[in-house]
Amino acid sequence: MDRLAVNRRSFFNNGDILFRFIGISNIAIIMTIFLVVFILSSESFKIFLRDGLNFILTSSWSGVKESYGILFALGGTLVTGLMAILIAMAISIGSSIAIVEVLPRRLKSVAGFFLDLAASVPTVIYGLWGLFVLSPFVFTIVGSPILEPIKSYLGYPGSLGTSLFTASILLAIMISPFAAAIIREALMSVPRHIDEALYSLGLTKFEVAMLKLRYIRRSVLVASMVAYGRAVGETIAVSMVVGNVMNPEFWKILNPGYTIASLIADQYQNAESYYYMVPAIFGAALILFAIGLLVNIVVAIISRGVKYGE
Amino acid sequence: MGDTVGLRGASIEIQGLRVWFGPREVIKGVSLSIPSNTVFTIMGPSGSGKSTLLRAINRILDLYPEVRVEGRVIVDGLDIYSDSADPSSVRRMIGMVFQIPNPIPNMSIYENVALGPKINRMVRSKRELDELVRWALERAYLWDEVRDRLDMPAGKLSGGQQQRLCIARALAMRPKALLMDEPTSNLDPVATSKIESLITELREYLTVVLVTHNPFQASRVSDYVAFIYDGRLVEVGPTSKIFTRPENELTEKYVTGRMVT
Amino acid sequence: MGSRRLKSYAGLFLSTVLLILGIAPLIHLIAVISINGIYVITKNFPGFFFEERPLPGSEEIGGVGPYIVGTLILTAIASLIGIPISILAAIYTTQSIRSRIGPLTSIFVRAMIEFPTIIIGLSVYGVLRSLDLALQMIGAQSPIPRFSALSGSIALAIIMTPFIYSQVEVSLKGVPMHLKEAIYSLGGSKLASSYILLRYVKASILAGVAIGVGKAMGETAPLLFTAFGSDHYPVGGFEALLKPVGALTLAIYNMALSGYSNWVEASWGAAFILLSISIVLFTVIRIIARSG
Repeated sequence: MDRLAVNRRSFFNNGDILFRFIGISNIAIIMTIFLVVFILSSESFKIFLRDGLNFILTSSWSGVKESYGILFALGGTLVTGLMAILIAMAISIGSSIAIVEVLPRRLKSVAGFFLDLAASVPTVIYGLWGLFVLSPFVFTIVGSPILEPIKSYLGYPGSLGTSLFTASILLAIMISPFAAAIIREALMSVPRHIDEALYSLGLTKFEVAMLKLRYIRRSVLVASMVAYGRAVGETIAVSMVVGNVMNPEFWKILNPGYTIASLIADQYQNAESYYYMVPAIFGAALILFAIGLLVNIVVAIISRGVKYGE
Repeated sequence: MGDTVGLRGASIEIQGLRVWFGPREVIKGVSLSIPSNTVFTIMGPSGSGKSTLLRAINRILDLYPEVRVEGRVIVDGLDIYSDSADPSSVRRMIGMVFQIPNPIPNMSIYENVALGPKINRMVRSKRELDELVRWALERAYLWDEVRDRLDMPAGKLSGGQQQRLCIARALAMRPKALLMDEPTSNLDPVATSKIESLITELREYLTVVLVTHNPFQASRVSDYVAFIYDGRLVEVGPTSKIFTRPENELTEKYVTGRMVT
Repeated sequence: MGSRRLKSYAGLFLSTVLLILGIAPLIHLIAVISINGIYVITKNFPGFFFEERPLPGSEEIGGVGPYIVGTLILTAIASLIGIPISILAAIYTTQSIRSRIGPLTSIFVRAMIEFPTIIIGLSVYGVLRSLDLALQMIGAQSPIPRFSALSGSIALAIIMTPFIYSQVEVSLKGVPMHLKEAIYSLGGSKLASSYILLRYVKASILAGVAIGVGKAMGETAPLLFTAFGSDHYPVGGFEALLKPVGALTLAIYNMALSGYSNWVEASWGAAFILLSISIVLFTVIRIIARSG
């Protein structure tokens, strides 16, 4: 019975060879990503070969004419994303300050609970609400006579109230919780001694809050980029409120329009009937992939070494 | 099973050991002979490298990717750093106890002690496992205090009890040597003295290599003492000699408490 | 001093207003969906949970039974694929000492978190379609049809993996060094020691898994090109996995946009079911995370 462990080798203890075997899952993950890039590139090759940069720089989408140019969708994505970010950052910064500096203890966790809950609601449910609640609301507001003169600059929403503007609002609502969570955590991890130092200088609560924001400005930037990435990639909710109508003048945000994501979701059904539409859809996806990847890379670079209170 | 007859401690030879943490050389050529069935203390000020030296003996340094080791460590004739040696086997022969008592908190007392034997398939039946757990807890001076509550989560024990539990956990592997890294520095004096008397008993059936930054503890429990300073062996010898007639000036400073650590 | 204080109050007031603006839509959404959804379900209780979708434009509400089953199947298989891969990969990354694959995996995973899920669905479709065409050329049949429960599950598994992997990676990295040393000093193999470490961070991992599963359940876009949707109960055991399958999310999407009033009504009921599941799951995750 003595010194058993050294003499007896159990199956488990051939472990380290078995351990290396686990590495297959890592390889599976890495291969999957390469596969995604590969399939997007290879399937869209045809359209880029035929049209080159015109695919991105022109606006058209017709299966019959086999003419595809996703500028209108690209514009839609960028415009809705930008608008959504501006609104969302205001909301997330504001709510984070409110939670950390204003709210009493009990309400802090309640507010946090709801904000985090908002982040995990399935997007199709936001879409449903957006379609039947938000869009009509936008329609009534925009329909009011006060806003008549801006119509020529900004367009007019579809009959249900669907428009790029509606999509921006819905996106802002959906992405705020993500940005808010990041900012809130950063705000809470500002070291106490900085807090105390600022107050002891006689600054008001709001002034302290503003200075703390400045202290964590890197996290604020990260939050905005993360939220932007979410906005750019959101498909279903957007698809339900953006109108899905080709709108080459995508800056007229009250018009209905497309984003790249909603284009893919909306048009894939026709795609197999036309020769170049499938490659065009993959081409649009590749562009979206590039944007999403770029955003994530920027986030990774900015957030390197972001640590407070050490 | 259940008694210590026939269990013999290992003899450990360290030859020309050098350890680098990245570019920094932490152990600069140390050679030591640790006789079997003794309590051998490695002492020195903080930062002297004594914890690193200890960790070289059971190859737990392997867990650190930035570490490089040169030299030989020979346990009962086996060069544990040779290419054919298996680190896991080495660790089954040599147990370790740490500065912070670290039982797995949500596992029961029984499960903690049984952990090693279980994952190494050391026993064939529950009855054998029960006996082994009891033996280990008895040797660690903990059995009487916990015999009625073996299923209690280990996190609920006091600090001193947790450390004795960790000792039991290591003993359950029936090791030939036990490495102890400042095992009492986080404990109160009562718990400390319990463990110190426990240590002196352990030498009956295994070799104890103890690291401490407290020279008084070293003088209380050890047979031999090695004084390490800045990664080098300054002096080694029987405890009484080191403490009454040290040969080296640094050693003398340390044992009389005049060294700022 | 007076105007500074005034400014401060104004600023804090504005922040609170923004907070309310941030939470109000969610509250409104929950209220509207619950009211409409419960109303619809009570119109056809309990049949709503079991029956199939009725003809468009008819007076009946029918049910969303097939979609509930579809969601369950897709989530279950996606979990079967995604959870082991994520956990094993994270173990390999954190416990291997000199591997380059480990850190590489982490970089890639970080690039993929919160990625546009429609791209994943499209890619799975693309791969399966190419596979199908290639195999057809040599007269064989693809084992995974592009529109099937299996392909949908694969897409969902790809989407859940980054969440679970990151969570497991962070938890394992967070184990204090001396505890790691203690476990390894017992002489078990890397595999055995990893298992003990996993048990130590059990709660964290459970939370991560729950988050991943929740994500998979709530996705629509990736299913558009893979599971594709079906209005009937999946039948036939294993073969059913090779056929298109419906899901709650897809059903809500299609029915809401259809314009048929009875389908639109049904979509509220389905949305209520999906929302309830999400809220429950979210609360459970919160509780696990707090206790662990």
